[in-house]
Order: sequence, then structure tokens, then C-alpha cells
Amino acid sequence: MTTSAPIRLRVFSLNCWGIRYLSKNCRERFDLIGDLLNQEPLDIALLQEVWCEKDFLFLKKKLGGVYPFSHYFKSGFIGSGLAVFSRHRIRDAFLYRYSLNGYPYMAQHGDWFGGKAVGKVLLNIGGLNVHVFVTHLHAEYCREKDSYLPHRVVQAWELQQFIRHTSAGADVVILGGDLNMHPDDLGTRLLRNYTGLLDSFSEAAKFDGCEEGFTHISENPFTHTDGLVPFGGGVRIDYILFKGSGEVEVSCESLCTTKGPVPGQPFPYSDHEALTAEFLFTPTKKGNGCKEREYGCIPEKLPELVNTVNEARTEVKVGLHCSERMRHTAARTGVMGLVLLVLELAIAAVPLFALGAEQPFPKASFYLLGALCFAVLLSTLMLYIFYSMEVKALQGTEDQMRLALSSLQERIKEYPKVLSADHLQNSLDSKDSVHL
Amino acid sequence: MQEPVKPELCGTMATERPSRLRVFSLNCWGIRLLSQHCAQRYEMIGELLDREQHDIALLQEVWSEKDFLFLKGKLSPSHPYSHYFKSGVIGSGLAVFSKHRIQDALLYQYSLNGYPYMLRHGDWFGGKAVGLVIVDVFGLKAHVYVTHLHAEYSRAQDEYLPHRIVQSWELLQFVRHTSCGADLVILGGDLNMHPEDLGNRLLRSHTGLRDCYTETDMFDGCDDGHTLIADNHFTKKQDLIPFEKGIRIDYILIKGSHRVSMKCESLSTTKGSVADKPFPYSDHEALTADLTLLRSEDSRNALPASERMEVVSEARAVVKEGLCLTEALRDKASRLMCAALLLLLLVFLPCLCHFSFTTTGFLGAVCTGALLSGALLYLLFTTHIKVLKETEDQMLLSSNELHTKLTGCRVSGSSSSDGSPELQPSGSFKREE
Repeated sequence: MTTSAPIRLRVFSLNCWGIRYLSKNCRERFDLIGDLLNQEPLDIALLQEVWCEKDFLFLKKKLGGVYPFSHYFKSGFIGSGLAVFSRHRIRDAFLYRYSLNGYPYMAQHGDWFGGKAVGKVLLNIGGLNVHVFVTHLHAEYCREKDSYLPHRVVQAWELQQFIRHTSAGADVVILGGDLNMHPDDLGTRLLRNYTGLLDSFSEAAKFDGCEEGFTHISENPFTHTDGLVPFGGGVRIDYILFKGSGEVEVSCESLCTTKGPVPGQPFPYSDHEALTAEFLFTPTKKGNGCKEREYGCIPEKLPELVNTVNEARTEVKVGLHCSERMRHTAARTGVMGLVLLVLELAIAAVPLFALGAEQPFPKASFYLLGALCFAVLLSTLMLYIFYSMEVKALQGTEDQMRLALSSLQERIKEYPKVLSADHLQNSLDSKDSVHL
Repeated sequence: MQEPVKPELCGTMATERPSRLRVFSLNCWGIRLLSQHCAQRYEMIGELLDREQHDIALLQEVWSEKDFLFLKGKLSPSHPYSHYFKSGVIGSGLAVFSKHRIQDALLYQYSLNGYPYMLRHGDWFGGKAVGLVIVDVFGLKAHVYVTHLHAEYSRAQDEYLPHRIVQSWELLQFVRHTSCGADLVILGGDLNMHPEDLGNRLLRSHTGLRDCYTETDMFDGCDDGHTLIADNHFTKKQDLIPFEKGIRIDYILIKGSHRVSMKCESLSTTKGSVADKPFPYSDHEALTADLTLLRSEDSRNALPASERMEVVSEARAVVKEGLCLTEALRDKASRLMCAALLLLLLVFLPCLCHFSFTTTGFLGAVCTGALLSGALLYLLFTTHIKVLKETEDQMLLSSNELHTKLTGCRVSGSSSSDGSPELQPSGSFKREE
């Protein structure tokens, strides 16, 4: 029994940059964020990079009066950094940790130590089942030579899989977070097209914020401006996406972002800009809503989706080749280390058996070399284990993509009008689809 | 808006005669170079599956991809659809073979799965997980899950119990959250838990899945449905102590929906030996379930909220205990790191130590090794602590939800404006009620 009156919902999303001892004015900014959330009439706040549990507990205490319900998703070594504050009761929570998230030896990037994931909370608002997802994908450090692209594509794939498979019973789906991808990047297209989620920036009736909806801008004193120059002074990498269902129409009434410095405050809330979206849920007669979008990709977009999945599969294959090569190198280096160690032991054994040996035994070199060989063996072993897991994750994703492609082709056959479209013929004629 | 051109539903469903579905599950024990007669047993398993023509075969411990590809080649005429779930270092070991088209697949790797330094147990290296395949069965959407949980090496002192409880929790959450749109749900696999163990009760009570063994009227197999028996050539008798004859740790669980009613007509297991063959298929027995699907509402009642709350409380206690233990282990790791660092500084302070070069070098190497191990262990245990805390939080949410249901039910006739579930059943939990 759903209420007949429309329901308004205000959703907030912010990457808080809460890296204690590293990010600037961390404590003060959390104080400001707490004040902001208390003042603004929001329903749900989705926060990322709340790395330290103490900061979450600080916010929980500060916001307890206005947002009595919260969940902090814990995973990895540092944590997922994901937190949800809600006026409405959180009935359930579930976490899906991404299989790939960078490399442990890339300490200067540090993503691997955070257990990046997608967190899901189930809310019941006015009798409607609202599924809310919050996430944070691997950062992009160098767009020209993005060594983490396969990882981010796998994360985007797992994100869309998780959303699609767990939101079958949802009346409304909302996803907020830092995707670290531009609106037309492969991962974003994959996510939007496959799930049917709509971008609040594109759909909002009213927008007030940075130009082009940028969420990481050069005007923000915390950002490194050099990286943003090629993109016109900003990038749009934080999103609030949404969709309705057969029984509920969802529209985005307005979207606003912060614009760098905050009036009356010495510094902004974070190095990212905050997003606030206002949604209107309009219950419709059964089946009158966007039922097709409920099941994911709308029929007209199926050919585009097939192309996107093919593109994603290519990226994953590239990543797989790299990873297999790295594993092979680790194995070769390990074997060399072992051989060297054995050789060294053999050489050391000679003076033991030689009769009347007068030459001084080079102990220092012996031990140093031995230690080096041992260190090489150990590190290559750990690298081999790590790369094996990476290879398995990439292969697993590729298998899922192949399966998805054949399913999508089957679905296209059910829509003859789509099948007859010219651009579909081109994609079917392409080499990749022959492999399916 | 385009209307899909959908194929007609299978004739049997339209005329309300039940459809039959045969499901097979086996832990194949496919540890190359370690398990006995691996290659020959895969030949036998291939022959069995080819002959029996099950609709769906769920295999565990298919650790080597070569063995999967061998089976795939052998079964391609009868089971053209298959999926091999890859995760972890060695692989999840999970494989599905199906006569019916597999539309989609998703893997959920368990957050906890043993310890990397427990090499003789080796579970950590297998990325144990639950795999989901969505199969088109007679025009119906079947969500089929295959899984394998952490082994139990010592029932008296089960150091992996918290890990298995976390895995059970993640399994039930995964099934609950992904089976909303399903017409029928099947879960097969090696749960490494006895039927009344906490993890099993947690799984069944929260998902509504029913055990084929308890439900069926026709059973043909080992006594008490055991799936790991003393009579099996490969089983070590001492592993079964104190259970002399055998234990039941492999299952096929089922659940219908408001569209489809499912019943297990018969269940059978292998009995340790195979006619005309020198040895069995595996150290585990194989399960075969004959299911009937009827186009009607599956109206079996879910377990009452109060009982579910009890099970969750019990599970939470185990997780808390695991948390305490892991925190103690992490403290040990940090103490190891500190001691190693201290010793390293002492050794290299010339005023304090007058060791020979050899001894200094040796001690230095040992300290560095200890420091590194301490750091890695600290990393590992911190990750485990996070997982245990997350599971505890999720269980608490579930407890609160159940509590609300209980208290809500007691207050009769009141209309709750926030739409609490028991008065206004909402989408995702409709089928649980």
C-alpha cells in the first residue's frame, strides 16, 4: 500500500578527504561538514573518504539529533571510507568489496590499503522500498597513461552487476559517490546504460553550481590546479544517479554543488565539491512508471550497451595481458633468485671441503648476497600470489562480460525494431561479436 | 515504447502440469597432485553427468581450470551452458553445468577465509565464494547459487568458526538481496556445517531456503543423508571422529516464489563406492535432487521473527568472540614488530653490542624478518577486524529490524505513518513474509 501523495527526498553526497595527518584542516572540515548537514534539510547524506572511524563517530554524535540512523562500511586495511547518515530508518545494509583496487607496492597512491567497495542500505520511505548505494572507485592519477584503468573498469562492472542484481525489488534506486570517472568515460557509460540509472546533472530541472557540474575545481584552494587545466579548470567525477520503477516515477527537481570556497568559512568542506539533489517520487498506477528502466537497459540503448561492454572487455583483456606478464616476470625473478642462492651455497660449500684452503672466505659478501637472494625470493613469491589473484579477478570479469554480451544479443532479438536499426547492423558485423 | 517479442511459455507450465528439474551437487576433491586418482575420477564424473542428464550440475573443488575445460568439452553436447567462477589465488573451485541457458553470472567472494600462514589447511588460497547464475528454466527465472564454505578441521576447538559464521552471513545476505526477482531459488554446495549448526540455521531462517533432505518423502542414499562417510575409500576415519559413520555437510536447498511452488520429489546420494569402478567419484558423496515446479504460490511460512532473532544473537556472540581473538592476535603482531625494531636498534648500536660481523648480520636478518612478518600479520588482522565489525553491524541492523517486526505485530490495528514493513509489506521482503 503506497501513499498516493508525492514524496520529496533530498540526497547529499561528498568526498570528505578525511585522510588524517595528510589532508589539510581535517578536523575543522569535519566540524564544518557536521554543521552543514545539521543546517540543511536533507534526508540522506552519502559520504566518502571518511577513513578514520573516530571522524565517523564524531559526525554520528553531532548529527544524532537530525539523522538518527547511520551506517559505516568497514573493509580493507584502512576502511572503505563510506558512511551513510539518514533521517529514515536503515533496515538493512550490505557491502560488496571490489575484487581489484590497485597494488600494495604503490604506497604513494595508497588505494590498495583502502578496501574500496559499494555499500548498500535499504530504507523504507513512505511505504516505498528505497535502495541507496554509496561508492568510491579507484583514483585516476594519470589520464594519458592510466595504469589503473582495468581496475576501474572491473570496479564499474562489479558496481553495475551489484546494483542490477540486488535492486530487483526496489521502488527507487539511488547511487551517490565518487566514481573518479568523467561522464563519458567507459565505466560511467557502462554503469548508466546497463543499470538504466539517470544522471541527476543531466536530468535536473534546476541546476545551481559549478559550471558544467564540475565537482573537482581549480578554484578550490585544496586542489592541484595543474591537473585540471586540460579540462577547462575542473572535472565532473562525483555523481548522484537515480531511477524509479514500474510503480514510482522519479524526477530530479534540482541539483546544486558547492563552488569551492564557502562564504564565511576559512576553507571549503573538502577538495571535492558537495552535491545536493532533490528528488520527487510520484507513485503511479501499476505499470505506468518506467518499468523498462527498472530492468536495466532500455531496448533502444541495447546496441550501444553491446558496444560499451565490448569496449570494456577489451580494456580488461589488456589489463589481463599486463598482469600475466608481470606474474611471469615475478616468477622468473624468483627462480633466478633461487638459482643464485643455490649457486652461492654451492660456492660456499667448496672451502668447507677443500683441503688446506688458505684463501680468506668473504663472509660479508656471502651473507649480503644470501640475504639479497632471500629477500628477492620472498618478495617475488608475494608478488606472484598477488598477480595470480589479479589475473583470476580479470579473467572472472571477462567471463561475466562474455556471458552478458550473449544475453544482450538474445534480448536484442526480442525487439525487431531495434534489430533492424542500421547502427545495430554495424555492431553485429564487427569482429568482436563473432567471438560470442 | 517497444513491446518485447517473447517466446511462448513452455506448454507444461501453461497447462499447470508440474515441470521437473534435476539438480546435482558434488565436491569433486580436485586438488591436482594431492588428491588421489584425480584425472580418472574426473573421467568418471564426466561420464556420470553425461549419462544422468541432470538439468543443472553444481560442482565444488574444481581447483584446476584444465579439469573444468575437460568437463566442458565432455559435456558440451548435453550441457551446452557452463560457468567457472574464478577468484582468489587458486580459484574458487566452483563450476556450473546447465542444459538451460545461463543468462548472467555474479560472484561474491567471502571477506574471511582462513589465514595465509595456515599452509597445511590452504583454505585462504582458494578464493571461497558464492557464485550466482541466472538460468532460464522453462521460461522461468531460476537463481542458482553454488558455494563452498571454510572447512572444519577440529570440531572441539574450531578456530575457523567465526570465519564460517561470517561466510554464512554473507551467503544469506547475498541470496536475500539478489533473489528478489527470482521465480525459483536453488542453492547447492559444500557448507562444511552439520544441519543444526549455527551457520546453517542462520542461513535457512533468514532466506527461507528449505533443505531437500528434510523435505523429501523419497530418499535413497547413505544413512541420515550423510555426504562424508567412513565407508568411502578416500575418507580418513580419524577426520570423522566423534561421528563414526559419517556427517551431512553437503546440501541442496530450494525455495519457490509467489509464481512458482517447488517441491523435492526425491533425493539420492552416492554410497561411497561406484558399481564397476575401483574407487568413488570423490571423498564426498554426490547429491541428486528431483524437483517439481508448479505454477502457483509457494506459501510456506518463514520462521517466526522471535526465533530468527535468537539465531542472530547467537551468531553475533560468535562474531564478537572472533573479534576479541583477532584483536588479541593483532596485539601480538604489533608487539612482535616493536620487539623486532628494538632488537634491531640494539644490535646495530656499537656501544652496546660487540658481536662479530656474522652474528650482527644474522641477528639483523632475523629482526628484519620478524619486523616484516609482524607488519604483514598486522595488515591481515586489521582487515579481518574490519570484516568482523562490519558483519556485527549488519547483524545488529537485522536484529533491530526483527525486533521492530515483533513489537509492531503486537500493536494491533495501528497504522504506522512511516510504513513499517509488517503493516505495509514492501517489495523486497514480500516473499519472505
